[in-house]
Amino acid sequence: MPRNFVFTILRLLIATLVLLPAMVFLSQQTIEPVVLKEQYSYSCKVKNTSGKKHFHIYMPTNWQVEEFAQTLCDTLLAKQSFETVTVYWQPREMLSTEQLLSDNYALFLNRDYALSGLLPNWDDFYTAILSLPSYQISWFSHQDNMQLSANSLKNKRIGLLEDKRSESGYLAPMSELKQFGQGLDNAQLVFYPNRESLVNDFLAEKLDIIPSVGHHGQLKRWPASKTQPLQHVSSTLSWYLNDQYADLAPSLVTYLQQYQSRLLKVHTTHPYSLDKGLR
Amino acid sequence: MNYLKALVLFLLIFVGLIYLSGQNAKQQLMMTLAEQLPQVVNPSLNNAIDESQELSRMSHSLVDDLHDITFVSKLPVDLVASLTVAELNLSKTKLSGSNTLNWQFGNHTLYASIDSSVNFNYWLVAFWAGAFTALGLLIDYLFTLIFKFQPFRQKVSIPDAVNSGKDKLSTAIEELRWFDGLKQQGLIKGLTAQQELQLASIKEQQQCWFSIALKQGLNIEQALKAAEADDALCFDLANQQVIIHGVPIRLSKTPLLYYFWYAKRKFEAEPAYLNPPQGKPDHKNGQQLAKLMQQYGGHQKAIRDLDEGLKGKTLDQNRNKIKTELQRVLEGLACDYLFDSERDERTARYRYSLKLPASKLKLGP
Repeated sequence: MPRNFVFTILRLLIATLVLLPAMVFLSQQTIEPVVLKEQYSYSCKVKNTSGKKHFHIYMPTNWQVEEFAQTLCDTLLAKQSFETVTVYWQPREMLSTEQLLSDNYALFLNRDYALSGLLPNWDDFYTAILSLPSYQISWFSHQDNMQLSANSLKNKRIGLLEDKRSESGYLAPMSELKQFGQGLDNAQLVFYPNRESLVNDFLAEKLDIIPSVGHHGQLKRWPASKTQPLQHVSSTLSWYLNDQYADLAPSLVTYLQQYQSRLLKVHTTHPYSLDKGLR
Repeated sequence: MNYLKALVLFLLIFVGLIYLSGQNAKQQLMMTLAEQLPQVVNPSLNNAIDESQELSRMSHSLVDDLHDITFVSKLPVDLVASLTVAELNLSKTKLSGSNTLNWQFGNHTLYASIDSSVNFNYWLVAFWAGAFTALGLLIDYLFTLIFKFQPFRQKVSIPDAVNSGKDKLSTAIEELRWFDGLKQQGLIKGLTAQQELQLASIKEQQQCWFSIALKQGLNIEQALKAAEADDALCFDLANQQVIIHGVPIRLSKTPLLYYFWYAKRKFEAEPAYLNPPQGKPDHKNGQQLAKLMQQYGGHQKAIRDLDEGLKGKTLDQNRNKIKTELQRVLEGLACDYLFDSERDERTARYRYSLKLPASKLKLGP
């Protein structure tokens, strides 16, 4: 009986194995295309509204976007003709003229030269309602009293941002490095996708020098002897409001002042004063 | 048993189909995600202040887009109805497990682990498992046929090897059922191959003699000799026995000598002996027999009785003793070694002589 049983099981297994190719064929199904939504945005529904319009905002950071959008949805734009508020923070490189026109951003944080590059006649559509003060960008190093020169940069690993539209992470430091001309090897430059990974590698001493506005807690307490300010002072960052919504300017300006004072307090080494901010 | 077999096969195939289609669906999902996740995750991290926090936010946000993913198949057989990602975990630190992906973001690696659940069209799976079970049973049946065919071919090939001793022996064993009874009675214990062969070849009559010989206490070797021995009656008076067809049978002295006397008469071609009449014993033959008895150590009383002459009654008694003893040992075969009788019409008495022809008699061993 046990021998017969084993024999029967064996035969059943063989029969299953013979059928396996057909079973595999039957199991082959192709996935219907899955398109994942872009992740660099946050949306909320405006309270107490029957409006159908969408309020799009762009800013080059995701700092407290949820709270930012929610404030607009719950208070600033409540009872207005908007259905949703969406904040976007995609890399600036991804912003194109077509996108600017088609997405019809209502509010925009950028520099005017960047905006001019995208849409030369931007001032036909947008008005700057608030500017951030210029802020100091510094070199941070692990070495005391470092004076930037072709000689001192020899064999140093320098971290920069990949984002070629970033003034503090790429444009300003790169132009300063260029001034030291030859002697600087391209292999010394390490590019990072965002500030966090750049600063983390610097703190882990994988990098010798980085440019920063000091937005990291540890960089804020960095000894002055180990920093050196860049000669270049940042150009103005401004909030641009679409002219269609000019009537919203006063309330938006009040909230944006609060938001950016907190932003700069947390993310720069330099104190921020409100009166300097308004253009 | 057959129902059980079908059920086991059905379950095996059902589980197989569920596993295969589930794995295929998950694999397809992983391939899609491997392509798409970096495209949507990386741009969002570029301007992120806190990577880990943003990864955690995206983990939740992405799951919302990954429910009820559907599949198409070449045949109208959608075993998988849909797939839903129950949990997606994006991380900067390494995640282990089978359903994980990783890709490069700048100078470091990002990881994703995906936990998904598959919704099957169970009725469709059951239908196909049923169809495959039927096919499987057919295949199984064909196997059985093949296995049945194999031993048949082996049987056919036996004649080719029939000359070999081993096969001859195995054939003989199959036929030698006649001595199973002897084995059960404990008369046969352990046969050599040669003996088995001999037993295989002996005739039915010889089988009887073989059994009788064994019962008389002979060993297998001797019994086989007896079975093949000549059909003869031999007197071994020294050992107080007759040897019939090679089987020794011990008799009491007096009946044995009466038996011998009848044999001697037959051997010497004397006619059948007419019993003497009552009250008129045969003195002449009485003395002859008494002489034989003295020669072969017969009982004194029997010899003395014979002094009065040979009596019909004594003859009858001794023949009966011989008959009883031979029948006890030889059963049905005894009659050939007993006496023929013939009624004398004139005197109405009986004549007796040995049934066996003189040629089959041996008066001494």
